[in-house]
Amino acid sequence: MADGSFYFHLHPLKEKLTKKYPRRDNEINTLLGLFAVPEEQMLPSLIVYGLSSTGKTSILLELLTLVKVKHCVVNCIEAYTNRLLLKPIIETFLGQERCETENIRCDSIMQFVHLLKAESKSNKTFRESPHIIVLKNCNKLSEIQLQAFARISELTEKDNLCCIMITQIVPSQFNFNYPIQTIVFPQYSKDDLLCILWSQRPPEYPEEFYRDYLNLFLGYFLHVCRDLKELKNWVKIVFNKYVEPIEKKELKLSDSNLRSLLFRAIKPYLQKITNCVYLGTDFSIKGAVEPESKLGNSAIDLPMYTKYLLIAAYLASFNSPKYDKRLYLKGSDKAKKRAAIKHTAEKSVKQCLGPKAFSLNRLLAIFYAICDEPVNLTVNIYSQIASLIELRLMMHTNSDNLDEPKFKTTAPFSCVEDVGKNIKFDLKNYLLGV
Amino acid sequence: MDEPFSGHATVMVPLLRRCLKSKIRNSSELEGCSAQRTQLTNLITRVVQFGESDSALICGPPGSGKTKLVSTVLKELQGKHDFFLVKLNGLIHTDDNLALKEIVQTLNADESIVEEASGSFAGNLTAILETLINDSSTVDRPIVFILEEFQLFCSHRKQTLLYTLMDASQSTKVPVCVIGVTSCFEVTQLLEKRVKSRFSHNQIFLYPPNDFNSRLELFKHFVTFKDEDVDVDVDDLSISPGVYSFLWHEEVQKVIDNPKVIEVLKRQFGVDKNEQTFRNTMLMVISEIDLERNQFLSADLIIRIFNDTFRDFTVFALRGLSVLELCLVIAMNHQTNQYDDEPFNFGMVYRRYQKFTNECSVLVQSSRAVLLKAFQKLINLELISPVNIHSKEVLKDFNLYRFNVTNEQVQEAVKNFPDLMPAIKEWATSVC
Repeated sequence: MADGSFYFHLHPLKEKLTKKYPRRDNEINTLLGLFAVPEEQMLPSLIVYGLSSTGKTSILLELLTLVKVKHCVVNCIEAYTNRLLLKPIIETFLGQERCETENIRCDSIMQFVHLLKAESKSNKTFRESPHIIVLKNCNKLSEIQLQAFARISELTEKDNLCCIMITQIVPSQFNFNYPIQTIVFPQYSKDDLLCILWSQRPPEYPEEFYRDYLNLFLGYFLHVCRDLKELKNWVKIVFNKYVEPIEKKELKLSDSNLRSLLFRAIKPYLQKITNCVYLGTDFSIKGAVEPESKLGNSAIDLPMYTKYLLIAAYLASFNSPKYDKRLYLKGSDKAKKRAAIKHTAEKSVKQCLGPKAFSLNRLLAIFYAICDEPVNLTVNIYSQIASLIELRLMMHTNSDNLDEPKFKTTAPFSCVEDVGKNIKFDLKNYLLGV
Repeated sequence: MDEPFSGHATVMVPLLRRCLKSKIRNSSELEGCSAQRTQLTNLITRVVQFGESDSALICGPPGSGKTKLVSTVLKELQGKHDFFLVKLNGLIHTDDNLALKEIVQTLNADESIVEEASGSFAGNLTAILETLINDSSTVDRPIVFILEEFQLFCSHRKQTLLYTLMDASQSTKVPVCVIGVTSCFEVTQLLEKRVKSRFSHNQIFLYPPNDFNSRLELFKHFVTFKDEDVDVDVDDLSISPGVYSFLWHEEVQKVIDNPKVIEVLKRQFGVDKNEQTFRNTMLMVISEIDLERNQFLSADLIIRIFNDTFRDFTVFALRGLSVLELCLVIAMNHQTNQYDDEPFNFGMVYRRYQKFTNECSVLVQSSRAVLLKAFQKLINLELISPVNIHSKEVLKDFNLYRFNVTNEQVQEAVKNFPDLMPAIKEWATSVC
């Protein structure tokens, strides 16, 4: 009897997986228990849930390939229509050639269910062998699709058809009225991460040395990021910097206080680099500039009046029009002005709600108030507004009235502040509640 | 463990697993609800025997055996009477045209009718029904329509299908029986007036069994087996399955007698009466039976697997975040608590975070760009959801979000978070 020996072929398989994916033993065991033996009945549907880069997809797919179950993977982000979603599944299950020669179409779940039903009626091997549908990022499916796939084995009347949905979203967000079992892939703990990163150590350095480095690295990075993929990326970059003094022969591996010396050398870099996590680039490298400061730099190159216009736009967006008279009218009572500012200080939350729309007239009025020199209202000024919009420092808001266009500023505070400093204009004096 | 015994286990465990798993997956017979059963049988019999058209709705929470009830009754009647059966499912037949296609296919009607009758959808369906009348071979052959997930048909355009079917059940010469199956109790509220007035308002209610003892019986049924259930080829073995089976049942008895096991079973029954949930969990339990770790069923195993089903995944997700992301979550929690569940945007959360890091000297403040990324991650995990999704008017920084996590969940996650700084813990528990 072949069954008697299935554990013998299961064992090397398990070892292979646990070796390739360290610290995932429990999850591998559970999945093997569920899917390793094709003769056994499967769950009708299953959710595999875990945060990003916890090994959900790679472990599941490798395991299904190793136990040789017929399965089909669809990434639901790509499958934005029914046809894109269902066609690959049908092609895997019925064979691609057959689908082409018989010109099988599958545009709706109805056709899909009919095709599978007909196939299991006519084809004995199809009926008796297990089939698995794997849906990645299943949160992108519509509600009806999700419900249908959750009970796909019931709908197609094929007991050994299972739908596995992989998701990063908490399963309780889905509104199934059909109970689904969930398997959880927990986030790696610090020990797990140490173990995994340790397994990929560079061979040319002594083990003790690399372990020290990893502890230091994780001590800084774990605070910001626990995503394994991201950590794997950074651990290499930082290590190259870490061993720089050794590579340059400034320090030797045999130095007695090597650790503290290296730490002293790397510390400022580490502090800086933790601010670049997830951003994709190392900003300490020459040439790479942070996007926000880039914006500020380009704004500084603007012509004089445009700078004033930008500041005027910012003030118009963030100050309520009812304080305009106190703020900009020459000769208004200073004491009154200060009181007004004090009074509104508590309303600073308003700043967070984003810019408000303002009319062209208000913008020009504030512009004349803050601009010391007398400027003629010429077409030049108007064209400056257009260029500000083109630079995406200002935007046109939808207003129904064609005669009275409304605007909003999109420039961040830091950028406008820089511009203000550049023309010796103290923005904070005019901004209420900052 | 002595040698001859492990020999038993090697052979028996795979067989046992297969046997128990198929026992769990194969649904049992319909039990109870005899009143509803007679009601439904009478209703359909009146249609198929005496040609009195009728309609009915079967309502019951998920897992209360609605589909099973319908299929049992129909199976019984199909032997006795001659009628067409059209099964529609709201999940599959997502619009009226698909449903019409299905009807045409099952009734073996000529597909050309659909193309010929270029008129309205209702016209098409009536045309089909009329051809059936005129067709001599099917004179007065009754049609039974089963509409599963009935509530989904209500959202079809103008409810044309429902209207046509209900209208047919009132007027056509062909006897028609329309049976809707739904887990939505207020479904009649969703019906249009013209549909509602044609519906007979026959409603059959089903309730899930409220008896824990039957659940316990089911549990016993799932974990025990008779020797003849397991198809052991005795000639192949030098030893009979009796020894292993004896030991297995001894362990099972121990498990059933364990009050802690009864407690978890009761707890699941109290939370979710759906039998499918229980079946799923039991399948997980049986999957854990293997040669290395669990040769037999044990109380610990059952308690562990059942307890896993009660896990709060949101707390789980929060515990998997980085400290920085957790800080943002705490800031959002404070923000929502203070402003009575008002939505917030990135700027407000950032302000709170800044305030906290300025006060707390141990923590290094992260840059705005990194925080924005962390914020984005929380959006992707749907821990926070945008108030208005498709608004180009609002800038990214100022878009408003709602917090999908409760204060209790945040506190729970903070309590169990590995190596969390005491300062952050204090911040999370403080009231501001």
